[in-house]
Amino acid sequence: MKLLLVLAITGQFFGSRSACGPSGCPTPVSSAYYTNLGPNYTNSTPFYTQPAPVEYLEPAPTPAKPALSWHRIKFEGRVISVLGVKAAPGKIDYRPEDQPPGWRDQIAAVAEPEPEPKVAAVDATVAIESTPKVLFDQSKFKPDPDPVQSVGAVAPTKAAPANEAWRFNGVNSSQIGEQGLKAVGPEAKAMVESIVEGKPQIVDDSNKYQVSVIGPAEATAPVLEAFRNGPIAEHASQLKVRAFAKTDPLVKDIGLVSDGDPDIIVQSPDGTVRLRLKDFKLGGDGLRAELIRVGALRKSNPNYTPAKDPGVSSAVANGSWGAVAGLFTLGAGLMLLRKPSRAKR
Amino acid sequence: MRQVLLAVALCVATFARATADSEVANGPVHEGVEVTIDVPPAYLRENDRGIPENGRPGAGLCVWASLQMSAWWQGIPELADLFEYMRTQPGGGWPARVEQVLKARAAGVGFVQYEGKDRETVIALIETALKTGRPVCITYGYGDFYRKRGANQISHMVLLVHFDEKWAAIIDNNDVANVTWMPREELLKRAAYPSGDTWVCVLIGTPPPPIPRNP
Repeated sequence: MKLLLVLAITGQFFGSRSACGPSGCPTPVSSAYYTNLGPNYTNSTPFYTQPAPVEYLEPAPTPAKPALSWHRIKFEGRVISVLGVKAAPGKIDYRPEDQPPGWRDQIAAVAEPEPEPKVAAVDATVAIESTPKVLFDQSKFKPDPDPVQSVGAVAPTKAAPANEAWRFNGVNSSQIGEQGLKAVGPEAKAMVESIVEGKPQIVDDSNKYQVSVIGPAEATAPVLEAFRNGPIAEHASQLKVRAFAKTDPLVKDIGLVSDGDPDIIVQSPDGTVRLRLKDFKLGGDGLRAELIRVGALRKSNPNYTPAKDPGVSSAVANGSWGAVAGLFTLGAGLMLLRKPSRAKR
Repeated sequence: MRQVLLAVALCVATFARATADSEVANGPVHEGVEVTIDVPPAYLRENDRGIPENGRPGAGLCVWASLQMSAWWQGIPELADLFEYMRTQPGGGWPARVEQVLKARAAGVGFVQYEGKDRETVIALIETALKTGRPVCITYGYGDFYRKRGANQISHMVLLVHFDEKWAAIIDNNDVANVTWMPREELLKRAAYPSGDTWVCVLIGTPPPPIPRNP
């Protein structure tokens, strides 16, 4: 009698899924229901392989949601319970949305591993490909001759709590290899190229002046626009420009004043304040002029005439014209010298 | 008897040395050295974990916590909510995933990554980044903080904020209340421990202004 009762209860829980086989399950389940759940989620229920209807009769009934039940899975030596579906022997499918509130915290609270045999058959397909390395494998520990100066040299003082494992292993070490340097973006590429050449001078903007615009967004926006598209845009690459809120600790904590509307503070690389404006009444052109005046921008020489530049190609041209002019002058001079001599005759 | 005592004393001395910490949890100044990048408390991002995936509880987000601190420090608005986004994703990080996420969420933001065993390149990248005011996200395979919690080997990422000829300092997203100082060589060893490969990631943004001074 007890056996019959157990069979009846078991049938209630697993009856809908127990007839699943290689050709699929008898209960139709929407494949969309398990979208974005990873490669192992639906591969045991190939609904898409069923033959399509050849004749339209009526709207198909809404596929029933698979019955969820509690399953125990093993993860990193711990046993946790999840609401999901037993998709295949040794495989549990679940999704975070189906779990009760506070589920994550409950997982974190599970610290004591349970005996291995109870869950050994469940775990076969649960682990993902980026399984972290062994956490506390003392057998791999190799003391260094100089313990104070080396890693991994000291024996553990106590067992690590399993529910802290996530803190220790956020990097998937198996995915790190010998790829070398890789840069994204023009400045980053310049950085990498310079290192490959043996000159570790990257985006070396450490010699640029810093312009800090401090104030609310509506006050800083016109200033930033002057650097982006306004009169200072063509020189913006010579500067490091950044806007801050008045309460930003990155400026407040180091003592930069922020009582303007906005404050515009220009510092040389060593931190020396070269200019401080309490508003933007000067406009873009005025600010540009001030930046030139304090040396933040390179200024042009009003006495410079490009036409007077020496150079290889232009020197040839200038030299030719010079020779022609010289010959003309010489000829004219000779003519003048000859005229008086005729007069004497 | 004297020999036995001597042997015991030697063992005790050796054990004491072996258990001595090779790092110091301190503030932004250590032995008179001021940290290069002094991240204010408001810009510290403590570690958390991502959502569960494929039957696994969420993995740690140390990579993204380190990147988040770097992005905040350098004022990269596209990445202002990077960590909050990653809390809705499966945890864990590796170079290819960082590239994928950064390109998707901040297409215009430059960054440099290195993975490998070339110590000189690692040093050059670190020194250049810090010289220009940019912190360095770097792998971390060992720490006294973890040894005291029973882990001799970790797969972790931290934020490197100082690296001179003698000292290195990190901000560990599992211990953001402290700046952890250690000898320069110790940092390089920990970064490559245990596989020998070091992974370094540097975001290219605009660092904050230097401490002001009068002309």
